[in-house]
Amino acid sequence: MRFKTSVRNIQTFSKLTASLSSLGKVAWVRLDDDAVRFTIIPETGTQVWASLSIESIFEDYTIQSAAPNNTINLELPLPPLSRALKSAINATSASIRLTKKDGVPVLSLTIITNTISSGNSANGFLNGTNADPFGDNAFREEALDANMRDRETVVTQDIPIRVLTAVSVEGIHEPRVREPNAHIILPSLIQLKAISDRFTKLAMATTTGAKSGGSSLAPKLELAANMHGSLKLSIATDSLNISSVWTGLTNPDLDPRQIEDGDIEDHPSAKLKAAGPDAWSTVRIDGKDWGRVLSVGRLGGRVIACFADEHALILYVYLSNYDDGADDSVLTYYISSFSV
Amino acid sequence: MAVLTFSINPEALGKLHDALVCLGKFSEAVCLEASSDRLVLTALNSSKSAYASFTLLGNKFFSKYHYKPPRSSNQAKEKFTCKIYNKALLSVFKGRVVDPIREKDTAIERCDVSVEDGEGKTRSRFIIKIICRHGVLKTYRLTFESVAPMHALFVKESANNSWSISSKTLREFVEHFGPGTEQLDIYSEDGRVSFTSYTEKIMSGNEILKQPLHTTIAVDTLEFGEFVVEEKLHIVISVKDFKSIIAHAGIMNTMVQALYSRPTSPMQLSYSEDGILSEFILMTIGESRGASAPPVPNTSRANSKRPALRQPLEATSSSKRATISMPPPPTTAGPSQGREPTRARVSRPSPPPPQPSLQSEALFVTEAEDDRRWDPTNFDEEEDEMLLWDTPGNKEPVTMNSGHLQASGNRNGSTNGHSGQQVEDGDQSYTIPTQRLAPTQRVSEVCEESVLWPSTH
Repeated sequence: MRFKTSVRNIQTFSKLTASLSSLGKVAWVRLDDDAVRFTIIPETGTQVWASLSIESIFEDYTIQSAAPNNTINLELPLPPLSRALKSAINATSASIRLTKKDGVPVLSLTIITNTISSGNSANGFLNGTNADPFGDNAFREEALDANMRDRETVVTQDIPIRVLTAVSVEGIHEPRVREPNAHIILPSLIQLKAISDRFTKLAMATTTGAKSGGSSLAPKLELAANMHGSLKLSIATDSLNISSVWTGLTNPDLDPRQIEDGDIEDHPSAKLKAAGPDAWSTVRIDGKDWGRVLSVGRLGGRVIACFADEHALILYVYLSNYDDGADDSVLTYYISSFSV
Repeated sequence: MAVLTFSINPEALGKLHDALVCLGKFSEAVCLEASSDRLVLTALNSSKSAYASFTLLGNKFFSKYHYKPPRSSNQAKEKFTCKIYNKALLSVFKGRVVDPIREKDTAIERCDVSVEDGEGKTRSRFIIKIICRHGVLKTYRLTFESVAPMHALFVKESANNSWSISSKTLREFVEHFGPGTEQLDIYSEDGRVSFTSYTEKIMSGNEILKQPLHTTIAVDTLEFGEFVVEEKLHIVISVKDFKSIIAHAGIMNTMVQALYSRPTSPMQLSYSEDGILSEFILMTIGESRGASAPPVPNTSRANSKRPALRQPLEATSSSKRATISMPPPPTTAGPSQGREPTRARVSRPSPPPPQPSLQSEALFVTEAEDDRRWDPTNFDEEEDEMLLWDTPGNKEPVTMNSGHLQASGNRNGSTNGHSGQQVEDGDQSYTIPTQRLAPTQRVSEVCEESVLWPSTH
């Protein structure tokens, strides 16, 4: 079993890790010849199934195992990975390999940072007085002596992992959800997150004021979409009732090839569309969990929300902003709707 | 009668605060030792494995410094020593670091301290007067315990290994270390130096994923200002203590010097800037994990430790022979804690990350391109939120104007919680009781002890 790769896009990998770790601390990672998949299945709350093309985060990717398609399944704790990737933010290069240290399997992240230094880089004394007159290091000076080249700092971060057998993961399947009633491209996620968090907070403030303590009942946000470009976010408690409506959003067209029955006219979303702008498809979601889901906004992808009325909300986060479909990296969030 | 009087300008006050914060990471009590030309603040941790001291030079650090030796019966004492609960000092100086923008009106102009040690009816008090703009004067009277501090000894002559490096570089190193590790191994070979943060705990099963991040930083010796160290020598110290030190050193732009001899002998880290000499003595752990370390024998027992590594430290701290190492102190030390609780604390994750930047007064967030704004909001924490007029957990002794809660926010740790507190009558005085310390004693009642550690009998 071998796995070794360079990290091509540290920022993206780091943001992806941060987004995933807000929903769960441990990910099931499946690596094979074609893709990298991260799956988070928390005990309660939203599941994430992220499938990335290899070249979206890695390059010089080598994988080898006895399983078909050279598949390797790992259980990977996300907080240490997130921490380890922080070391790589300003790195010259970073690579990952699967190895064993002291008999324990680890993902070893090797981060190389070259510092360009003229003179003694132990520059505690001289920093103040020896400032570059141009205010920056625009001109990189190189020493004549070839031995006085860049100094190299190598940081190695070993993340503990478990290598999973194929049998132990074969029973885990992506959830099946019925055909959605509405699908809509979400507005700016930072806006949506700010308002959602504000609503959740208002609900918590007003309910804990009225009742004593019962914080186990987390506030439920009601999210609804129609097929005429509107999204509605609302919350209701004993003492308040507020909602926010976005209009002029896009309801993307369905790809007929992806519809199971093949008849686009019979699709639930077509019926909702025909019912007019006052017909909504609604889900009730946990406010805190939703706030964690929306942390995926840091990746800057396009997000399509699919509403299965009173049943579930599915978010598809497309990492690339190109329409040509060349990059098929997508994060899928499965959010169950609570009943009234 | 004041034994000691000194004045500090706002800038030095900020530095004093930084030093107290650092001392607070080692012990809850801080020992003060005043002599004619300097004031020394020290702290020793409960397991006696780490010692921190800051020497404030009378003529450089203070704007005024006067030590008047108390006359006990016949002869004048050369030194005045006492112990104060650190949190009491920190709450006086809390957030009083210079912040000229926010605190235009309440800016501190000067801080006067006088220490009175009672003869006859005079009470023994540590009196801090903070003089702010517009004639606002705040007076704090703290109690203290008169005890002689314990100093760790370090014999420079026997320290044959030394290196020095920029404090900024060390801070960058420390930033790579994740939470939860216990040891830091320093090793050099062939012009490369490696700093390894690791833990000896061995987990099994699902627990293995909770194993902290194992981090190695390998750098060229050229990064160092000076590097004279025995090749292939492993020296191991507590990573938590090292982080505490670098958190302080990293604020400054200075060179940190390390001196040490061999495993199980202490290591000294020191640096100085602007009239403050900072010096730390850390116990090193013996015989480290080298290439010769045996492979992990059996991972079935969770939390088992490799005894070979632990033992030397234990042996040293209970050793009766060594004078250069740290022998057990007499019983005068603060609440005594065994090693194990301390260890347990080490493996606790570090404090939670800063608040997401979403809690602004505006409905929408600011333009700042800060990745943290994507972090989930922590709804369980009470925040200075526009919804709440007052935060329940934040009980200020005097809060004339709760509006400052909004204005100041809690976005950075150094924010002044008292910034809105303007007392009109000009003289506000209250005593912050120091906890867990015995009532004040007169210096004359305390028999003079050696300031060096007595050897055990």
